[in-house]
Amino acid sequence: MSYKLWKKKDYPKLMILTILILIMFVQMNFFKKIYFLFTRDYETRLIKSYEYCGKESIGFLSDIKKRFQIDYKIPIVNYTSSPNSSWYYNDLKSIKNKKIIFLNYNSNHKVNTKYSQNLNDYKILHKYNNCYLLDIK
Amino acid sequence: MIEIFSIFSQLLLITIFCYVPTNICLFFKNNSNLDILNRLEIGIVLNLFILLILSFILRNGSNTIYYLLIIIFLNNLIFLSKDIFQKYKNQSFKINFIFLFFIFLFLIFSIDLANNLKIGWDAQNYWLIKKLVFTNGGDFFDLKNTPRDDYPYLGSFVWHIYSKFSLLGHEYFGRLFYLYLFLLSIFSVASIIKIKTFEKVMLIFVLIFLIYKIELFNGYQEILNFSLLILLTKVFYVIFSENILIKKFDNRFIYLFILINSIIWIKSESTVLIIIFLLSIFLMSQINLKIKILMTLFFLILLLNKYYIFDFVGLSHEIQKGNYEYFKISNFFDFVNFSRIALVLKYILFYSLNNIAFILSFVALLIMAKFDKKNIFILPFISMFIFGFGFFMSAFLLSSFPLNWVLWVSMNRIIFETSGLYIILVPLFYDFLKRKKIFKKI
Repeated sequence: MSYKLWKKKDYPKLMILTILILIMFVQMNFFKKIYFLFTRDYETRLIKSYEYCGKESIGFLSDIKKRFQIDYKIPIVNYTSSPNSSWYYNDLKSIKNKKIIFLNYNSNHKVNTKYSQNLNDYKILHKYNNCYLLDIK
Repeated sequence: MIEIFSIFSQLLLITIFCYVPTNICLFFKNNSNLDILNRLEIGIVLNLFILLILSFILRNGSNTIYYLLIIIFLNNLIFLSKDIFQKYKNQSFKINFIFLFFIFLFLIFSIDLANNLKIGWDAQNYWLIKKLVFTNGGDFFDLKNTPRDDYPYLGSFVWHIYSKFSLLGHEYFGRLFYLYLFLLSIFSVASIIKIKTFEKVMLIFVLIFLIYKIELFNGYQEILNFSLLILLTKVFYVIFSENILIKKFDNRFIYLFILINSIIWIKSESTVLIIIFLLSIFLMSQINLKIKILMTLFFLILLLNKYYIFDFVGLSHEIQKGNYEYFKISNFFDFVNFSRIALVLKYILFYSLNNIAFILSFVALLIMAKFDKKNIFILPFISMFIFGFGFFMSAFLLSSFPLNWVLWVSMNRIIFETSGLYIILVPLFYDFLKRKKIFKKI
């Protein structure tokens, strides 16, 4: 069975369609995106979608997960007006531990949490700008 | 490479899940000439309904519903293969260019989504949390432990199911279903008028250019409401364009109510949007009073069912918990006063201008109301706009939250989802221009 998709009189229409599709590709950076899909894994693309240490700080959370080989959930206190990023650790085990993460920490700003907000009460395990991985003393 | 392959397999997975056998299609549509997009349009609504029912029987740690879904998948796959084989045997197998275009756009936008994995604010706070309840093996009884338990959960459940059944299991594969539904609704609404394939492609292009933004798919549920409202207005249009006087409650009304049922399980305000839709179509004299009463009754049953299930599970049944708690008749003028009205109007104006599809639909309606007075669809759409405006005003004026903030964060989304009711006016307007031979004059 053979199919002839296009007749000769359809060529101008096909041209218009191709131009529109190309405009759409350029508009949405399609070629760059398809390149990233080949060269960057899911985790990298996820981290790049968020700030490293700011708002949800998924980059920082990912970094400490790898660096400290963390396979359990750690409580997160976020000092900025931003959604709680604890969903990032959703697939980890729920076990009691003494670690805590402060994101976008600001000593002048108090947030509603049961944890002490004084850094002197903790041992700093890792710090990047205002993001901290802490161990409760 | 594997991710591209997974996106393609996800497309196949959703298509097979939403494929419906001919008999079921004919039950809901009298038209025997059904192409793949028609089938998918029916199938996607049935799929949402099935998923809603399965979410009720899902129990903590049990895999029963997943086995049931595998059976449904295999059943649909058999029917799809049988239909393709039969068409091939009868030599009636034709390449559907519009469906190829659908696949093409789906793949393009999927790649866009795969590079913009940021989940929106409310989506991270509420919808993703609900999705994770199911991902972690929980059932809908566990939803009472999530923030905003008054929010329905169907969108989050669909997100969970399609990411669970995906090849790589990443969360965004679940959101590809939202994209699929969006594209299907646009293709579906573009097919209500009889035009050549190229014109249809152009119309689809225009609609998608006007509406598509990657942020729509960042986990917010408005895109589901928007797409389902498009399908709803299409069903309404199809029923009324064929029958001038509606006296009988036929199978298409069953489909309409399955669709309405899915919508009210997406978001709290969906109920209001359905009321706007029903009130507007009830203004049509073409609908028999008996049908109007039956439709109202069915809608009330669906609402009571939702109320009962929420009550049974222990979820809150307040609409927008906390949002209207300080409003009382005694302090009416604290909420409804000149400065607040002016502020809401300002936001409605600016966010409407931001939504080009909404503006285009509005302009199309104004022109058709002036020059196409015999069109029976003008009245219901005018009333949808008026009721929609009333909804925007009352929803925000009576809010107990700081008005500026609540308008800033939610007005654009409310306008967007409501515009699903009006998008059908764009193809209707194109049809009107063609009938008036405007293009030939130009």
